[in-house]
Amino acid sequence: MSASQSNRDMRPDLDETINVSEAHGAIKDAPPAVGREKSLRENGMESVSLLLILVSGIVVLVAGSVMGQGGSFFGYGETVKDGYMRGKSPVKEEVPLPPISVLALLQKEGQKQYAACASCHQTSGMGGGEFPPLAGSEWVTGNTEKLAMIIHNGVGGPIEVAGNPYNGNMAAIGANFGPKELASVMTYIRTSWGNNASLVTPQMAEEALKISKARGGAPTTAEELKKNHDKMLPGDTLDPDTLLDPETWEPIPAAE
Amino acid sequence: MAETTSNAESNDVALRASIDRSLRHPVMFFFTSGAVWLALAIVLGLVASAKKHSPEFLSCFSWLDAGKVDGAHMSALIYGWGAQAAFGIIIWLMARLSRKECTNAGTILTVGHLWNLFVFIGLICILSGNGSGIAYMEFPGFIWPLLIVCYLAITIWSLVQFQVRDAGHVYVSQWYLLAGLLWFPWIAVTAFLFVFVFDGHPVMATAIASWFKGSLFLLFFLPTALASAYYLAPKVTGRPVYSYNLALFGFWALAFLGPWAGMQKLVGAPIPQFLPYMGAAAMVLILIPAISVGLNILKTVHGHGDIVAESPSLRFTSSGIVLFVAYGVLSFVLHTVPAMKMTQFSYSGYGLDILGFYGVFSLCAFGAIYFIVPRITRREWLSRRFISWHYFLSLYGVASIVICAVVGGVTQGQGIEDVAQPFATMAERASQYGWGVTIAWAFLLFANLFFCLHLLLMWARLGRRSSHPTLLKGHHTENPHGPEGEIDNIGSASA
Repeated sequence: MSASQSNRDMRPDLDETINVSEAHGAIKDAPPAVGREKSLRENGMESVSLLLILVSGIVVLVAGSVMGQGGSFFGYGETVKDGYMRGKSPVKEEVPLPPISVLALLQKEGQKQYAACASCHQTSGMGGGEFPPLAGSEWVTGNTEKLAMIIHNGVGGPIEVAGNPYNGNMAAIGANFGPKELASVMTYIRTSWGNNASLVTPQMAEEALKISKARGGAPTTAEELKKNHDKMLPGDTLDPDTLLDPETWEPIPAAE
Repeated sequence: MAETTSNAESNDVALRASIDRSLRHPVMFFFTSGAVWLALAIVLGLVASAKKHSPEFLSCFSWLDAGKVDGAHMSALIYGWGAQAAFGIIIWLMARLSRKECTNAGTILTVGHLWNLFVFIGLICILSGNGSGIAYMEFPGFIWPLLIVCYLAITIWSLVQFQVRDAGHVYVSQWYLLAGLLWFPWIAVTAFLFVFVFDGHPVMATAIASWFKGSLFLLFFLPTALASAYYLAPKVTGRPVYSYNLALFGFWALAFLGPWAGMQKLVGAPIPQFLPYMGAAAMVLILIPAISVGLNILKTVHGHGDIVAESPSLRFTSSGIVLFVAYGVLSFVLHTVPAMKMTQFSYSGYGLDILGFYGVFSLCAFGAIYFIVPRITRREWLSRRFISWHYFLSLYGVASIVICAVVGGVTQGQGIEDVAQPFATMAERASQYGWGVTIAWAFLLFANLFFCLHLLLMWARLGRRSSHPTLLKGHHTENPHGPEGEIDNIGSASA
């Protein structure tokens, strides 16, 4: 009170009955912002308009159509949405794949085909147990016709590989190979793991398929191979560095 | 009779003043530290956005790599600014509406400091490459339980205040506040457990994280913003909320839809198919609460154009509500099936997120801050121009970000879908819009430097000692401090 008293005394020009702060109900301590606030009133009771309900109905319809795309509700088994994949480009890729040497191409393809062989002969080509090694095997690095016959027809009975006797049965793993596959798997095993023999061209492999067809198709034996097939496949050899188109396997003419 | 009314009114004023006084330290702390985080988050956002179109920008600093700075940007924005602004609004508004003084201001203030410390540690972890890499949950796993405990220690008092309030009508804002208060721990604990603790399938963790991202906005930030709008619009205009029924309708629509949203970004991902489509349907339906709330608030302020223009708090709040309607419309359009397919891997989702977080939540939060701060500091805002620049730069900034991101996102999406075009064409097209977004962040940076400076001055108790509110235009154009000696403005002024 004394503060307001002194305040009043210091301002003699104001009528002493009008204390400004009291007249406006402002509490001494309350900041003006609090004093001038309006009170919240009861809520209005306007009804929800029909238009809003109509608009909401349309929104619900659209939402329903979105939800309909999601398959069955709570279908926890459906995790793949059909047709939700990027389409294939109608325009062919403009940039051609770079040319690749025939040796590298055959090795690359051969490595893929070799996956079928690796279960017995191992990725290291070392075989193991009852399976003979391919690395350092004269059956692999030697004449190509007998190798082609083994891959294409299988082999059974006693056979000596790298100085050790084996006696097992190899199925005709390559029975369905075409010339490209046969040529590439042969080239791969003849040039891997320290083997350093010549490559086999698809033309040679085609000859091998002809010979095999003439032969009939039963599994070969070591004896038969030595007697009938111990020779190189006919066909022109190819310089390992010849460049090929990796898609068509056609030689690329040297750039002018 | 008149005597008792005036007596009751002055008791009211005294109570309001004592509630404000009891909360002044924690609320001011949350607002100012939030504003500082906001400025920092925008600087990081500028860098993150620039990296999208100019990858070489600042590439000499490995701690500012695109992936790190993007996570740091969103984390600082959400947990540095957003959460703290929300805390300030929640504790102040709940105390006011429950008519109870806060008796735990010291605890809240202390825990508020811890919250800042943990956010800071989390950001350092992100920038040093130890973040979790999960959108909106970039902080490493150990930060989350600490933040959740801090949250509980900050907000539990508001629940207590609600519980011990004098019996009576529960006001609309209180529904939203209570709902947000209870939803946040639910979504945060669920997301933390499924993402960081349970050893589930990583695809499931991704799905839960995207649900958290959707729910965090719809079930925490949005309710807080709407609570503030439902408080300020009738408070500043002095007229009742337009329709109680409409408010009920809007609230329950949001409460029903919010938890379903979030997984829409995972369309085509190997999760149960109906989940993303349900999220998309919920995002389409968000238009319903948006137009209900929009209609209700805008009808409440309708016819008070002069107050909307004058009062900073009402101007920010009404703009936030208009942008909420825009958010609903954009969400509706972007989540229809063809649009979703078109924009799934583009900028447009970012545009919608920023529209929600900055356009709706932050504008409403600014409105609340412009209202609350003069009451708790007992000073008026210093500068009409600062507020006005903050408003216009914010509005231009957020509008530019949203327009660039959405239009750019559609262009980008078309580029991705057009399989005949090389990928680079699409990236080239989108980068133009990326520039637009970066420039828009620069607008927001300027806006919030003014805001941050203004708020820090208020925090330092350097505000005007006056009984005149700082209004954006009106009677005092020649002198913002008003004619000398004029005190009688109790009836006319509303800030």
